[in-house]
Order: sequence, then C-alpha cells, then structure tokens
Amino acid sequence: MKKTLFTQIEGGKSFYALLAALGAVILMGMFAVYYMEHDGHWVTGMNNQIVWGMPHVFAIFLIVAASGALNVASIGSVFGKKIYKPLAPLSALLAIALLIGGLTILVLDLGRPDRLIIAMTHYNFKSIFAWNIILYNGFIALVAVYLWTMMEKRMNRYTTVAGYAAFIWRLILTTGTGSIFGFLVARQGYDAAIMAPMFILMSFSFGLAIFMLVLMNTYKWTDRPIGDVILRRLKNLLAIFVAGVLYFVVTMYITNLYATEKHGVVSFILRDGGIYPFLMWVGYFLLGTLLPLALLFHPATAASRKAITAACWLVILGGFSLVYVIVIGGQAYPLEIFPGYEIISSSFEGPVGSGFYAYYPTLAEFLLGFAGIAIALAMTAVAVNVLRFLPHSLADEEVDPHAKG
Amino acid sequence: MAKWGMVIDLDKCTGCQACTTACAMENNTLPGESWQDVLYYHEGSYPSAQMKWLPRPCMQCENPSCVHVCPTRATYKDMDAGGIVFVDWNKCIGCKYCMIACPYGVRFYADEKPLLEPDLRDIFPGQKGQLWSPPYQNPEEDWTRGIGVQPKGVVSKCTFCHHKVSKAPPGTPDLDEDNPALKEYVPACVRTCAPKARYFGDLDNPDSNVNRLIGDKHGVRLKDSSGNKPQVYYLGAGAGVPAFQPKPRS
Repeated sequence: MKKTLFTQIEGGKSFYALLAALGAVILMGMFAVYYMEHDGHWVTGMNNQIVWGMPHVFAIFLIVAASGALNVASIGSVFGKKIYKPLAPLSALLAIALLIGGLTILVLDLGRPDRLIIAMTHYNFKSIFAWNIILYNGFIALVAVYLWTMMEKRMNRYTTVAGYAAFIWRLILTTGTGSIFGFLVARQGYDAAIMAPMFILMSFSFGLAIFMLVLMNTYKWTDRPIGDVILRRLKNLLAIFVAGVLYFVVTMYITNLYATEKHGVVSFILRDGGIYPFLMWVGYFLLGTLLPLALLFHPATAASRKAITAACWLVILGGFSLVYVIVIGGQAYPLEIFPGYEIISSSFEGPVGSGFYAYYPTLAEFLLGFAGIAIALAMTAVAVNVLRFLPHSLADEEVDPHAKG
Repeated sequence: MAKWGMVIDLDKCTGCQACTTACAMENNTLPGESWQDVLYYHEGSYPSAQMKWLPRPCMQCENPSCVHVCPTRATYKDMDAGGIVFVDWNKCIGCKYCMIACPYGVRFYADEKPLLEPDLRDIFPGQKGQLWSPPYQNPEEDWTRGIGVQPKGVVSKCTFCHHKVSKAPPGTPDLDEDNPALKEYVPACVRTCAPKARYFGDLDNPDSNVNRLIGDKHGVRLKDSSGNKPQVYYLGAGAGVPAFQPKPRS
C-alpha cells in the first residue's frame, strides 16, 4: 500500500456557507436554551412523569453514536486492518465531536447547568450516572491522545496501544450508557441487563452510519476520489451492525415477554402505545432496519452510492426512533404501583383514558437537539479545514494495491 | 437515634386530601407539586363500581433507589435525622435521574407546568433564588435538607416535616397530635388528618404505637418486592391490595 497523503480541505465559499448554516442552527439552539432556562423547564413537553424528553433523545443518540464513530479507527489499530488506517483520524475526530455535541445538549438541559462543577467534583460511585461523567471525560481525553499518536510522527509507535485503550474504554462507555436504563428496575420499560450490550451494538451501527455520511459527503464536496473498495467494506460492516442491533432488540422483547410482569409494557411498546408502536414498527423495524439491509445487500442497489447514502440516513432515522422509544416510551408506561392489579384510572396525576402518560415535544427541545448535532458537525468541519485529517485520495488503487483498475 | 416511620390506616382514610393541603401549606409547594398526594382509583364497573384511594407520601426507604442513582450525592439518607431521605438543593443539578429511579413516583421537579391559572409564580415572583414567594412562608429553611421554598431547577420531595419532628424530645416513641406536649412536632399531614388515619413514631422503639400497629394489624409496605424497604406502612383491608381489581387472565 502506498503512503497515504493527508491534506486539509479548502476553505471556499461553500465551506463558509456550511459553517454559517451550522452556526445559525447553534444560535437558534442557544436561544432555545435561554428560553427554557429563563422561563423554566415547564415550557417544554417534559413533566413530572416524562422527566427526560427530546433533548435526552438527541443527547443519548449522539453519545452512543460517538462511541461507534470510533469503529473505523479501532478496526485499523486493534484489528490490524490496514485499509481502514487512513480513515482513523477522521473516525477519532468525529467520535470526539459527536460526544461533545451530545454532552452539550445534556448539560444545557440540566435544571442547574451552572452547577456542572458540582457534577465534576461530587461523585457518588454507586451511581452509574456519575460513572458516566468519568467515562465521557475520559473518552474525550483518551481519543485526543489516540489522535495525537496518529497525527504526530514521533508518536506513531504508540498508536496501537492508544487504539487498544480507546477501544476498551468505548466499550465500557457504551455499557455505562446502556446501564443508565438497564439498572432502572423501577421502570418496567427499562430494567433489562441486555440493554448494556444492545447499546454497544447500537453505537456500532449509528456511529458508522454517521461516519459514512460525513466521509462520503466530504469527499463529494471537496472533489476527492473515494473508491468502491473502501465503500463496499464499510457498507458491509454497517449491514452487520444493523443486523446485530436487530438481534438484540428482538431478543430483548422476546425475553421480556417471557416474564408475565412485562407483558403490559411490551404490549404498550409494540401494540397499544400509539406513537411508540408506530416508531418501533415503521421507524425502527421497517425503515431503520429492513429497508437499509435490503438496500445494502440487494444486487440491484448494493453497488449504488445513492443507495448506500440512503441506507445510512435510514439507519440514523431508525436509530433515532429506537432511542426515542427506549427513553420516552419507558417513562410513558406508568409505574406499576400495584403489581398484578389493574389501575383503571386515577384523578390526580395518573394516566387517564389512554392508560399512559402523554408527551408532546416542543420546538425549543428540537432546536436544542439540532444545535448539538450542529456543534458536532461544525467542530468536524473546522478541524478538517485546519488540520490534515483526511487522505487526499481514497481511490481503490490508493487504499488497495490489488484492486482492479 | 429514632428511625421515623409512618403508618396509614386505609380503613380510616376518607380521601379528604386534608393531608395534601396541609403539606402544601407547611412546605410552600406549588399546586400540583403534591409531596403528600392521594391517588384515586375506580374499582369494578357499574352497578358495583367503587372508588378507592391511597395516600402516598415519600416512603423514606431504608434502601432508597433515588440515593443510589444521584450522581452528586445531593440526595442522601440521613440516619442521624431518623432515616429521612433529603435532597440538598445546593448540590442538586436537576438531572432528574432520581425521579426516574423512584418506584413510587414521589419526587417532583419544582419547575413544573402551572396547574392553575393564573400562574402563582407570576403573582408572587420568587426572590433570592426561590421559585416563587408565597405571602405566607414557613420560616424554617434548610436548603441542605430540601426545606423551605424551592429554588428553580431542582428536585423536591417530602421530608417527613423534618423541621418539626427534629425538635421532638429524644427518645419519644410516638409523635401523637393528641398529646399537647408533642403536637407541635407532629408532621403536618399527620396532625391534620381528621379521621386519625395516620400515626407517626419510632420504628426502632419496640414500645412505639407504630410498631404495635404494624404488628397487630399486619402492616404492609408498598411494592415491598422492590427491596426498597419503605418506612411507611399501610393498614386495613385495602393495604394488602386485594381491594384492587386483579387483571383479567388472558
């Protein structure tokens, strides 16, 4: 394999237009934060039953995807697949950017974001949430070191060690994120140990889909060649991860159905819960899983770049639907105060009529979520403009000398 | 040190919600932020339909889920204060993880949607970081224990009226509202309960009335299977839950 030449991207008109657009989204998000903080959280769709809302869906999606965006770098450093090594710097950069985007949303949605220093200095080591604060900060630091070893020639010899450390750390990180929900035995919609490994697979899938979209679009906009060899490998990998998530999701619901006490919540999520069954069946299963798998494997579309792009978008859409159902659906299903007995209605705060708690996300919540995504993309755009993150060419003959011309 | 516990006799409770009102007045909570809630249920169908209710304070669990999940230790169980679970409003970052983790749904985000119009927060705007400033304010304030008018962006909960019970003479087995010497130390919900359905005392004292009631009348704890071990016990025919309609078998 030839030596890879890394270069910055040009900062032309379209680049600054992109930055301006992302900046506008971030600005709107900050206005939304000001509105929510100034008027109070009651202006959002969240309430005393649905306490985590749309900002948390965005944040958890980005945090999970951040870990998965490191896939490509890990495959190069840990599993020794040389073809992926030229992509490793972008992979690590995107991992950091997505995590910062997700954490920004999470912090700005706190009731008291001004007390972030307390969260950093008062740890309850029994709390998986506290562990996650350490894991997220550690991930950013570790991946930054990993990036340094990749981009600084003198440090190249440490890349493998740093890659291993980052790989192990990201597995623990996503386990921690899944455990936030898995450990919650009070809520029947959560309380499943399988959520920890499921979140790892989710991270692989969502992170790789985002990575591929960023990679393909960057190369398209900057007129850099990207060959079929690398894309074919990436799309096959994505398909495996999508199938992996499907396996875990199906297993989770089947195992839940094994326990009689969980029949109610599974029926709620998959059949009776209004928006939640729609998001699961149409959003996740059909559009987010089966359709992308068909696009990625069907002979008529498997080689099409448009189909691969569409599949990536669909995986993101499906992933977002899945995270929404996990986070919001788990709270919308009422607490079982009297296990085994039916609460027909309650007048003060319980579910009335429909049988579950309602949640209507507001514009401000969406704006904050989009701002998190924009922060991640803007960071990535500025970084690839300033530093040499991207290979000048990913043409087949560059990445694989044995590729047919 | 005492381990404070509450006993609620569901056979006596009339569902009048005097406890809810007294709690709100005592602790300056906003409408809807019912630390001492009464849940209502319909049972059966016409013509044999019945209404049931269940008063639901914080259970002050011996093994509280909320304490385990709080990332900053803002929520803590104070064994020197009778085992009451508190929220330190100076440390709470408003992540709301405790609200999701609580099996009983008895924690509240202070900054909630107004239940009534006009919004009382607009009529009595908060001062010095308070969420609102009601015309009558309980002079007792201890943010490290979540006592006083709540600040913005934190979680609040029942404190078993710690500001009252903590002043009771040491070694008191029961805080009985009928005892003139003790009535000022009785939690607001217990003191105001018209049918005397509530009892408050030391669960660690074998001579306390609450212990006797729990033993004699087979007191049960809500969702005991959760392992949280509440310090609130229920008595009466409805307490064992058979009063609620079983789910029909499919």
